[in-house]
Amino acid sequence: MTTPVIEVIDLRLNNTGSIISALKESIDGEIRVIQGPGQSSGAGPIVLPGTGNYGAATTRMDSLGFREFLRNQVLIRNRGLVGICLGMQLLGTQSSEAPEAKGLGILDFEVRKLEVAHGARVPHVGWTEVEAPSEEYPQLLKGFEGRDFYFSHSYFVDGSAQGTSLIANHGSNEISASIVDLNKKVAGMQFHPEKSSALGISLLREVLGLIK
Amino acid sequence: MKIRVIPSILIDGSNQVKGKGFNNWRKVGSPIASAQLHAARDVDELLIVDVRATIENRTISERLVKDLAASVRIPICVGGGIRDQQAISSILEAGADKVLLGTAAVENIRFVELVSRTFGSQAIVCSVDAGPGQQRVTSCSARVEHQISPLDFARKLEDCGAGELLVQDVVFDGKMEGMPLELIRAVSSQTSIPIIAGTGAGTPWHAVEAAQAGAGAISVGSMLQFTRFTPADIKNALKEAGFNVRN
Repeated sequence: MTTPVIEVIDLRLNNTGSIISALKESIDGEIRVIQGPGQSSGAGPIVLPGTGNYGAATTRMDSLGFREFLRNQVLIRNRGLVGICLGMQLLGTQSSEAPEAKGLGILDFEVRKLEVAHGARVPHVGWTEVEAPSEEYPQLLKGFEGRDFYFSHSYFVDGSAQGTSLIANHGSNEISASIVDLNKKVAGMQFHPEKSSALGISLLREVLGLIK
Repeated sequence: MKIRVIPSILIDGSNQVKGKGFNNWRKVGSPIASAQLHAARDVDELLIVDVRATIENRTISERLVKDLAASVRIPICVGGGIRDQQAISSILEAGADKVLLGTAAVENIRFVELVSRTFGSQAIVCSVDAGPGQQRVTSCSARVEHQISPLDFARKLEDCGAGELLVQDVVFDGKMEGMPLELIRAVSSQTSIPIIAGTGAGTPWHAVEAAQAGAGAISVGSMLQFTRFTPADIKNALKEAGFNVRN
């Protein structure tokens, strides 16, 4: 059996150390950091981590040549892709954080700012339990309901987005905590699995299994 | 929202220290061992501050941040002498999830605006350190007093994009007699970003009082160092008082 090689996109906007060490614990196999499409082997799942500003990240994706690369690898060559935190938001079409910027458009959702209401402070920082989404979507991530994951964000994908597999509530905001599209082999996580203790590692392993 | 319990690990260079009134530092152990012990006890985050960095005109050791980040799998916030964009960039690159800004923010609030835009609000925590009587903000470990009041400063920090506020009072520091509740209440009612209560927690009940005053997170130092109380005791007390905590 060949061991999978996971490629982690480094937009050089933030540290990839903790995500890499979390991935090492989640799977057997090689993890490779790529800083440009030229460094890709062209096979295996891709992880797109990210924190910070949506506009800055899209600009960086363009300047490093990752936009076309990711669209091509995922939509045409059907490679698996997991976006984490800002990386999940980038999978959609756009964000109110940077209205002039364009997302990857791989999944069909828009990102908007969390509302300060019903005791919810923004940014949403801390451990929040995730729950199963409404019944119309298949529950792909069973066993994680009621467990806490670490969130740190001001913008979010609405829990009604197609493919939402876990939701989290913050005040009146229903957050898509994770999203999975089995056909496209694309997944996203709004929380930080790499900062969510041993449970984050299990979930990361599960999600990587789904988009294999 | 679940109330976070955040042990603070104060260091001087590479030694863990403990002080009183933001002063009188004495060595109490190794920060890495301490971080691992806390993480094993399921705390929610860690706050690591080099308390003498600003005064000695240096920045917290990147090497130490790297080692700390590699030794735990929970979020870490790092502070100590962080005064420019380059320093924030290096500290985040070393593996910190957020930085704590003190002196740099009170000396130039525009800096907060700039860096929260560059790194995202979620990466920028600012400390509001009240001086005696809570009329003025202090900086440089309470050596310098500024004209602005803690409440005005807190509001300005929020306007400039700070992601969280660490609310402390120099008089309460290290005494373990309770947290600055009035200040916490005032700041939390006048802002809508998360508030971390700091200074003065000596018993789990003090953490409960801070949560009742509006804090979403409690930073604890001495209590975990010098008493028999554990993070689980704090969480149990919060739970009994009707607050949600991470299981």
